[in-house]
Amino acid sequence: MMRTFSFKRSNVFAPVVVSLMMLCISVIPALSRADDLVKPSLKQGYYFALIPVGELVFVDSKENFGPWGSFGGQLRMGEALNHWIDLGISGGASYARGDSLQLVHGHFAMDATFKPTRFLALGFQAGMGFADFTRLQKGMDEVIGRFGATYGFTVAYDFFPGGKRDPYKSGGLAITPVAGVHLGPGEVTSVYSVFAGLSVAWWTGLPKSQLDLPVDQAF
Amino acid sequence: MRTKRIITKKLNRYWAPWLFAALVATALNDKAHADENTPRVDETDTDTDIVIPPVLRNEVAAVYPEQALAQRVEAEVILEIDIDETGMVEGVQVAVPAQPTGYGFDEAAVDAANLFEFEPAVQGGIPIPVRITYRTVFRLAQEPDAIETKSDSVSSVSDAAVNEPGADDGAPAADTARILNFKGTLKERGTRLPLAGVTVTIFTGDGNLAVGYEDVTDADGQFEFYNLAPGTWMLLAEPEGYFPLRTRDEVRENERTEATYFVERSDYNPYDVLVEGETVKKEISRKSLKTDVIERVPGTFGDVLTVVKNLPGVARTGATAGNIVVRGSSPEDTQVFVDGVEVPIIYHFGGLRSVIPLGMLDGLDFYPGNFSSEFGRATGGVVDVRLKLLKPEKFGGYVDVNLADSGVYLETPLGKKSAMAAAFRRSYIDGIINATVPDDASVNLITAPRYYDYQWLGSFRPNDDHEFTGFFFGSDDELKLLFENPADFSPDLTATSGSTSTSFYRTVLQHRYMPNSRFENVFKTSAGRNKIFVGLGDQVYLDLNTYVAQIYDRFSVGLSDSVRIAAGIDYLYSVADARIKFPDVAKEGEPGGRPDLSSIKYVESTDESNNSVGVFVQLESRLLKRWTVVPGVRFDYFSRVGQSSLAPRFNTRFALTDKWTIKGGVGVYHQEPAFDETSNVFGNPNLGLEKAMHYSAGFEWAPLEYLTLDVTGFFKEMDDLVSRTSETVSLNGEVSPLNFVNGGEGRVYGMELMLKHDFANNFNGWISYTLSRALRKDVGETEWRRFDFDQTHIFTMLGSYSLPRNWTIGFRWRIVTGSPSTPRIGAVYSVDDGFYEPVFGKPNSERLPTFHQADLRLDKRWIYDRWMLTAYLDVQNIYNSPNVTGYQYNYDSSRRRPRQGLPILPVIGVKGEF
Repeated sequence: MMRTFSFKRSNVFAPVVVSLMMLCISVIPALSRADDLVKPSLKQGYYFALIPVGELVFVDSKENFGPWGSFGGQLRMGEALNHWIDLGISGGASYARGDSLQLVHGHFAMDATFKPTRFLALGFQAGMGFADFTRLQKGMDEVIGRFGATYGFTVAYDFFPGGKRDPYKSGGLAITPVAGVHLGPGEVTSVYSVFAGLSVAWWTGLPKSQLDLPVDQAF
Repeated sequence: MRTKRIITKKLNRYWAPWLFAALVATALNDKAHADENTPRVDETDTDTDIVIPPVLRNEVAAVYPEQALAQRVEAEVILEIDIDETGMVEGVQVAVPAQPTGYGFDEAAVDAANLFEFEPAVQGGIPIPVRITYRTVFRLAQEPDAIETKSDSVSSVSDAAVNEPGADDGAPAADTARILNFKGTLKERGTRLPLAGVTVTIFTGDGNLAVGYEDVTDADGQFEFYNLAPGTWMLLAEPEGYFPLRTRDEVRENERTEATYFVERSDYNPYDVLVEGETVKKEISRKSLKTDVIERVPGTFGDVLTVVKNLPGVARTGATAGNIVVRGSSPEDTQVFVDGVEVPIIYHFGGLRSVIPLGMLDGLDFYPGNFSSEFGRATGGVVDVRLKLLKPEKFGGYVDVNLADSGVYLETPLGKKSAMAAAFRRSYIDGIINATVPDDASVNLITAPRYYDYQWLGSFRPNDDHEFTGFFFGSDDELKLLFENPADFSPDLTATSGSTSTSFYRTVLQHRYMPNSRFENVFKTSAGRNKIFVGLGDQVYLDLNTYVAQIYDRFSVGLSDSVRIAAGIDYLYSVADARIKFPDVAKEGEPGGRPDLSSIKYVESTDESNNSVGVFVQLESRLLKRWTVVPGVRFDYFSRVGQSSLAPRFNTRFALTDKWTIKGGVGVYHQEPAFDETSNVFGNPNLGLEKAMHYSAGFEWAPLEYLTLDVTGFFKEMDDLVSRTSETVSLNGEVSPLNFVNGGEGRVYGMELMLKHDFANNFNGWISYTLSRALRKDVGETEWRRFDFDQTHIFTMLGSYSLPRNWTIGFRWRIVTGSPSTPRIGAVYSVDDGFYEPVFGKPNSERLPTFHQADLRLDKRWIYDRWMLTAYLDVQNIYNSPNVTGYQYNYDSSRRRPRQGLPILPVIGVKGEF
């Protein structure tokens, strides 16, 4: 059976999103002035993170459902622009099943992370989401599919199990507890989720030519 | 260049102490070093004090000998220069004469060297006289008439054998003993362009044993070191704006080390190339955009013509509507040119992509009104898409892949005087749609929407006076459908298939002659074909095949420094074959609805030729340095309506201060009615020209070098607009409908504002706002009504910020008053046809809801040694605004529901450049 998805619109988040964008446009430049050579740091270069998550999902449909327990995974990749900001993309999907309902939902979004301290990270996601919501019935399942805008907010704290801090090391493996909320496609069926997970991330670091190194380390 | 010397350059904070040690060590080992690398250094009287070489303070370029220049001969001369204790040149001798001899290279080099001035050499803190060797290179630059003579300058001092006065200054044995054993090339990472003028440092050892040398890269990015001792050397280059190059290389006994090094820019900012020369502004409403800005405007897929819709004065049309509505004029009132050549279509499939890829273009000029007499046959606006000036330094290009299509662009120099570029692009929407349309859909796609376009551009510049350009381009769009049940669409539809195809090609040849700054002539000729087909089987079709040719010549002469006259001729010829079997279609101001397939008209014609000729002249004068006055006049003749027109135009600008300018203009504009409106069958062959008067006045304020505010008020009065009539005409006793007359009127007034931030501080963007009212009065009517695209407020805010690590973030937000629409106020059941015929209310008497939408775009560029990869994510309508594009009515028009526009849509693309 082919599942037909429909687009549902909501203006609920419009002012929020526009405000956030305006904020980014005005704040990111201020925080992202181009550095020349930078001191080596663990959160440098590109990152690739895999995050198994557990969720509490609320479904706002013709009837309200939840909270349900759910599980899923997210993938994030991007780059550290400087010690304030990371930019990248993220995607993920989760699955939940109850007695009479089944839900698969996910997102694909731009991902901006603000780092107020060295290891604390506040992430914002905005992009496209989907929710495939099935009411399990005898004989025929009722399927409601939704595409739409999705927004997310995450808090994370990085631990680098490499332990000993090498002042000339750039990049490394990070284990990061993550918690956040996601707001999914709206109107008739909206999906809100609160999730927590443990991210395993690899930071590639920067090449030597882009680091401020003493001469015995630089060549 | 190609020399080495003792390091004296100040390096960054980490390197300075270490290299200072190296310097001292080098200095302390100067004698040994000289023995090793520069064997002609003589013993000094004091073993403890080193000689600090003289520094060239005033270098005089040698004059290239005329005969050598004419015969394109290059050479180099090695001189010995005696410098006294004050730094003045005492004497110059030729150590190694030029080869070949007899051209005067030696004399030219000696004459120049005699004019040099130095900081004197110092020994033990006391200035001393010395003798140095010095090399002068005579090399022809790339431009045929340009020459360059370059010398080793200061760095040659390092190469010099520093001699005491009275020392043996015989034959330059040192040069014959020099062994080139390290040769490198410095190039920019990603673009492969050579980096010239970069100091390259090579050093080895540590502490007292440290030795280091420098060279400066030449125009080809090359540097050389001589007589390096075998071992591991560290190479350092720190060009401004680039990450440093730090590497180790081995020098082996009796071997030459050769390597190419790629240095990465700290920021590959696309806007670096935006610097343009200041040009005299003579148009009062022109908006110019460069391709590098266009490429990163969110929500436009980087399409050059889509960006126009973000400029003031341009109404919002649907996301897939391929029309440009300027200052309340109908879409057909605005002309689009590709480098001055008219093109029949500018978009593939209703606005998805424009027909010329960005790689071929330099940018565009947009004139929302009051354009000069050089442009004609339009009463609305003008979009002139400029081709790029083809001057590639290397073979390069790009491959662009996105969700809609893929394209490739290649360019290459052909010798020093010619260059060539070619591009091709094809869509694969057909594959995507065919894969997603369900098997049981009421429409099957045989050939789903597919398009391709192709371009070839060549240029030849035999000298500075002449430039020849050839441009061949074309486009082809096609869509074919099969209907399972045609009656689903219209009770009268019997055809089971439908198709549409549009294709065109043009060949353009251009010669530009500019013997001096006061005279310029541009001659252009183009020829090609337009082919349009729209049909539903044999039931309804439009088959139009047109051959077109255009000749254009424009010359301008500077009568004085402040007065210039420009004149030209613009001739357009077309011959068409047409087969049309179509019902009447809705015109501006008429409700859409279902075409009446029961009253189809038919016309067929062959070899129907038309031509129009335009002649223009305009004076460009600058009075009192601050006042620019551009009066002009244009004469046009249009054979299709058999009418001519005379259109005087006047534009003026006055600079009140360096930051404030006031401006104004008035002009007359004419154009022919649309093709079908003058048809014997569908229209009225006796129609005349449509006319418009443009008035505008405003000011510009440039508070900062990169920030400008442009405010323009405008008023446009349109007369003789083609308007539908129910009148009939009796011809040879037969009564037939008149269809159209030139009785319509139009009135548009408003204000445009544009606050533009050119690229500075890593930011580029603009805010545009249009406040306007566009009205029409149809023939026989007494009241004004709203124009189809009358949008009171049009606000657009967009910007791109260039972030570190080659990221760019872009943002666009638009809010626009909803377009007028004509409501259905009921329906009448037609017994004959068996369905409800809608009853419409007053034309354009209601409005769609306000439109608003935000788009966000992220670009990331990865730099590799020989190419670059850019990926982007462009999310359109990021908050999924439910914008209404119209209404869908039920069978008896008693209920309706909104038809929504583009939902949230992420678009991903990648572009590889090399």
